[in-house]
Amino acid sequence: MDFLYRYRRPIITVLLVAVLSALLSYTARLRHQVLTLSSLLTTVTAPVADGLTVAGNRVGLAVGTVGQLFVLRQEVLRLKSEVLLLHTMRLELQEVEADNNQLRSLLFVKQKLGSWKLSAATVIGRNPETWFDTLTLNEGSRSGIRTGMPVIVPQGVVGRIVSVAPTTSQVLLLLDPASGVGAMDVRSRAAGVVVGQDPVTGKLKFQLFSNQPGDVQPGDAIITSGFSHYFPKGLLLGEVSRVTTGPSGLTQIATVIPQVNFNQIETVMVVEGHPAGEAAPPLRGGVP
Amino acid sequence: MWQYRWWVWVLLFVAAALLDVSLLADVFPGGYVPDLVLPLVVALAFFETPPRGAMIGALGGLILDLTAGRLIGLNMTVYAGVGFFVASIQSKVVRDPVFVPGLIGAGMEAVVRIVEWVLVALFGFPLPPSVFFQPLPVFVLFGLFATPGIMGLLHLRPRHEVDIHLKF
Repeated sequence: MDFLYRYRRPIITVLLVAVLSALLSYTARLRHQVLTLSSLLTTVTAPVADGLTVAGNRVGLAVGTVGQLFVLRQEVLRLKSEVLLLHTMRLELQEVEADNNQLRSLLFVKQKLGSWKLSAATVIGRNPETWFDTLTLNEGSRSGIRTGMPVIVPQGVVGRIVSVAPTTSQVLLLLDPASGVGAMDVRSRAAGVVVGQDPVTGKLKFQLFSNQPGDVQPGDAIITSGFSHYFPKGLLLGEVSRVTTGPSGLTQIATVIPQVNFNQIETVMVVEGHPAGEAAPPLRGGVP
Repeated sequence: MWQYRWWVWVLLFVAAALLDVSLLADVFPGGYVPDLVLPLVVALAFFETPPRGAMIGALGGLILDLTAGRLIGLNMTVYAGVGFFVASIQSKVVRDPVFVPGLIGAGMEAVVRIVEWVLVALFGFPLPPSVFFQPLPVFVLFGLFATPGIMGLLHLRPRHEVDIHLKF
């Protein structure tokens, strides 16, 4: 017994190795049964293992989320500022694009009217009264602007300069009841005068000199006739929307819708000089 | 008190006219641009005697006429009448800081519009009635809110309240 007790550890080790070797040898030959047994055990313990796995995942996720809260908060703040920056950039780009389009169209006008002397000016104020329509430009006599000069945009005629200060000038819009421009119907060549009808509806009135039926029809384009002292021939004024007979029954009066949107004028071209007798080429199309 | 000094009126009217031609003209479409000078005339005249009310109106109208550069005297005459009228009735109406000034401001917008429409026609610019009627709701609403708004913003007060305040 003393022998067994003294050498118990080597004996147990040898026995374990022998048992394991036997087991390995046995299971190596009975592979299918071993797998079935394993599957049976797995099936029995699967719900518990599954539950533990889900719980473990959840706990791991929760611990990870708590750990990441500060990082996520920083991330949200960073992304928010980035969104704000991108939004601001988008708005700025839209504005730059609008400015670019406007400047392109003004450049187009300048190229189209190559022999004309044009000067760009920005609108800095409008008439505070409802009854009259004038604009204030940021260029005046120091920039060569003089009273009577026509003011145009790519869409057509805006008006003419009526007063000039050294650094500013006033433009009498076509819509003003005091404005009057010599005009003609492009189709029939019938001449007349275009005057402001009223500033609220933003329409013009075309009074013909003649009274021939069909001289003016809805849809006709009206341009400057060149007969007036201020405006050269060929500048677009608007399109006829309606034709009526005057109170005396002797003249035809057409309502003209101007092509220019007078509420959205920002930059204009002042015609400082143009070749005598030369008509303006068609400017329709705006941006090429 | 500053609200009774003429040079303060000039500064206020110039500021209102500048806001008219720049800010309001950009916000409202053509023909619908309200006038800030008229509610200011009503607000200032509300605490004045009739002659001083007329003076305030004339000053405001003159500055507006000079800013517009057309028919000098049109707004000066009409606004002087408004100032006189407002200063005359202010002692007869309930002293309410919001509702009464708002109603007077809105009423004056309508009266001024129609009087000016007639005067403009008399001086050679016969404009269709649409010029008066179409933007009228905008002007009336503007007068309704702008008049008490200006009074509150400038903290305008009756003379006797100011005098009591100065004594203490």
